[in-house]
Amino acid sequence: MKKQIWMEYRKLWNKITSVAVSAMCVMVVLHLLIYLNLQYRSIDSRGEIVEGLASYGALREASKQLGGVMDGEYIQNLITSYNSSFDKAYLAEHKGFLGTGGMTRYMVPNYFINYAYYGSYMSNGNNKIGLDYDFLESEEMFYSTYKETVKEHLKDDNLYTNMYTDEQLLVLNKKADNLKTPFFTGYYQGLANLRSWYIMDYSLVFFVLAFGLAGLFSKDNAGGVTELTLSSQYGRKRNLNARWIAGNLFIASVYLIYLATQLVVNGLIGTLDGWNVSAQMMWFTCLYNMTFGMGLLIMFVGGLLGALVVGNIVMLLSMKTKNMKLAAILSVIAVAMLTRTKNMYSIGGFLSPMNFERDYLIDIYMFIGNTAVPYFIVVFILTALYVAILYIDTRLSYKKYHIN
Amino acid sequence: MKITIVECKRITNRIILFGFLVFVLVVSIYDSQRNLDRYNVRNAQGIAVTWKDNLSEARSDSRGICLDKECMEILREDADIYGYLNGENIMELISSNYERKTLEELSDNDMDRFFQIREEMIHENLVLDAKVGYTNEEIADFMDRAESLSVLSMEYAEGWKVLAEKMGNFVFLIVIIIAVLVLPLFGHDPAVQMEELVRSSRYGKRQLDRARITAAYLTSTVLYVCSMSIYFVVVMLPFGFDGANQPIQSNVRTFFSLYNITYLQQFVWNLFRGYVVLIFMVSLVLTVTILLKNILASASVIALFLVMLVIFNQIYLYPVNHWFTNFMPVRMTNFWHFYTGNELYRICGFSISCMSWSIVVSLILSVIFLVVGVTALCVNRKKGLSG
Repeated sequence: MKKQIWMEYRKLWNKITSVAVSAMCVMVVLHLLIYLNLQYRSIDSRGEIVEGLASYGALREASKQLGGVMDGEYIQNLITSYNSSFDKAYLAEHKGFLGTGGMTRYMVPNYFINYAYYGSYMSNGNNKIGLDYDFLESEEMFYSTYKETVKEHLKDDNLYTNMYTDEQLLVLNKKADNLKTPFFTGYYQGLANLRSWYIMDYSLVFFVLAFGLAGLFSKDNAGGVTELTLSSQYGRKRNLNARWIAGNLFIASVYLIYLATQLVVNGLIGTLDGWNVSAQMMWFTCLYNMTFGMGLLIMFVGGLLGALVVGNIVMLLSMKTKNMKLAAILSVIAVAMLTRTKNMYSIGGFLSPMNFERDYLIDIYMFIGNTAVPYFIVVFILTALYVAILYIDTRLSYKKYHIN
Repeated sequence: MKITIVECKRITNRIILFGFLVFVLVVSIYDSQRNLDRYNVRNAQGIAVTWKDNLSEARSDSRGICLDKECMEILREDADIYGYLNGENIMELISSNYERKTLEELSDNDMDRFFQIREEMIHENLVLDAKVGYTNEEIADFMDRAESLSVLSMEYAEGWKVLAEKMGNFVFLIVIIIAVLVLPLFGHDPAVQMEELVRSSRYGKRQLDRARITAAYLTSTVLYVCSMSIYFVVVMLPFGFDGANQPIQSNVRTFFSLYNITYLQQFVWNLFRGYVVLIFMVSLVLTVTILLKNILASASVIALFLVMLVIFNQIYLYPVNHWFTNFMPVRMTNFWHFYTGNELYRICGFSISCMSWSIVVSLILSVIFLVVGVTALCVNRKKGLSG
């Protein structure tokens, strides 16, 4: 069986998939290089403005002294350092700097502190980076203000989304109270870029799968289903499983190539420093005691699950149509329709595999009664359900598969 | 010519043609229905005024309306005098011109200075635009155009407004479908063993290649014209064709536009721009299929390229838009920014509008693609391989 799977897997790496995967990688690299080069600039440790790709190295260098546990002493040192810094004077003079791709080493800790004040009104910009707050007098005051802000934010959001009942909100409030403080802060710009571009370009994987798997069960493809494939009583069943497993391996491979491209390019540009920074530095309303790196890993696993669902939809379409080109067209239409659910903040959006790789995994809970279930657990269950249904349908269709 | 016709039929046989036209009709009707639904006036009980009544009232009440001080004074006295829809349209323009102020908040002087305020806002935006960095001559030229609008007719033109708003998405969709239909011309299907036959003909290869290229552009043009005609008629019919000669500034989205043109001229511009996008896509598809020789491999490259353009379009980054995406299909069919963006290209000492330059560059790129494709065909022929 292993050999059969391997043979089927090898067949999937044909001219079409090679071209599609290469195109995907080229698009990802170009998107990263062009936008990261043109969009960003930073203030370095000597108070000079560094533009383009070099700005990340300069920012990392400048941020070295600002990494550490964000306790009372850290906060006081941060206030002293920020108030006497070139950055503060520069930002006061250049009002649009942070809102237009400008970066300063104070962004990570200062934005986090400002979130405690602004809550749901928090955004990036020069006016939300100052440290003139009474609650910074002590560590306890700061973190209790932060936790109250998170609760207020959840409540405000719920006014629009109506996702939680009052009791469920209380459960979430308790989770906010249980957050382990002080948090750990530091440079993470490379990882922040990785997160953004990973989400933005994710749909490319779906399109590659649409073309790569369309011919898996077609009869008009060189590696597709033939009379020979269907003629043996036991081989027919084994062949279905071998193709299905090979298809899923192919999905994982394409996804990993996509992820590796993102990791390598972002790693080279902004480095992957910051895995151990607290998740709250990135996701202010995150209620898990975990690091940014762990949050990203959850998103990466979620992305793989989303790709598996979409890949299985393509395999089913290939089986149903038995025609490579038709399956590719239908798959592209299905993927295009799925991409329309991106950013949809509703039950429909949460059920869509398009959103399985998003920040929702880190800051959304679903409820069964008053028991909070993390959204990433829901994503696991949904994926298992989707894939099982799609596999059963594929199997049933295969039973009726005839060449003519 | 016979070969060209045969190749045209290969792209669009009867079934494909029928399917294409049915698709165009369904999309047009769906779009039209959604447009009309926006004109139903709703209250707590449901639809209070149907689109039909709403539009017919707007049509009859809009005769001779010009947006000036007198019109604003009359509207302040009686908000319903011009009917619901005309009133809304006028209020939107007032709000846009006076920085979100309502009619009640305007002084006599404000009303008197309606066009001067518009000009001042345009001037301010031009001066503050650091990205383009307009020269004094460019600003003066723009201001001349802004000042030439001294009367703003607000007569009924809802159909044209809707057409201008929705046409871009439809054009993009149609261009993609036509590009898909062109794919098999040079893309080889491994299941069809025609390669040997084509390769064995001595004089036929060049003729066949030429016929295929001609067939691609010919068929695309016919399909584009047919689909746009159907769309135009289906979308415009419920609204009526009135208002073709009204200025595009009577639409809130193009109120600050410096193109003093009518809705009909805007439609013709958009139609032409769509056609340029079609030429670009067909050229790109031909080149990619000639180079890759495989239908699905070519389709995947085209699809990923288009997805990338859509992703690029989600983040506004001036240099990328200015030097790349402005000439590409996604932004080329996003018509609005050409009318209101005032983007300029400085070529050989001349300031050329984005509206014109994007068309020129897109056509040049199309020619480059075609030349690359034809060269690849020639090289393949010399090597003894077919397209």
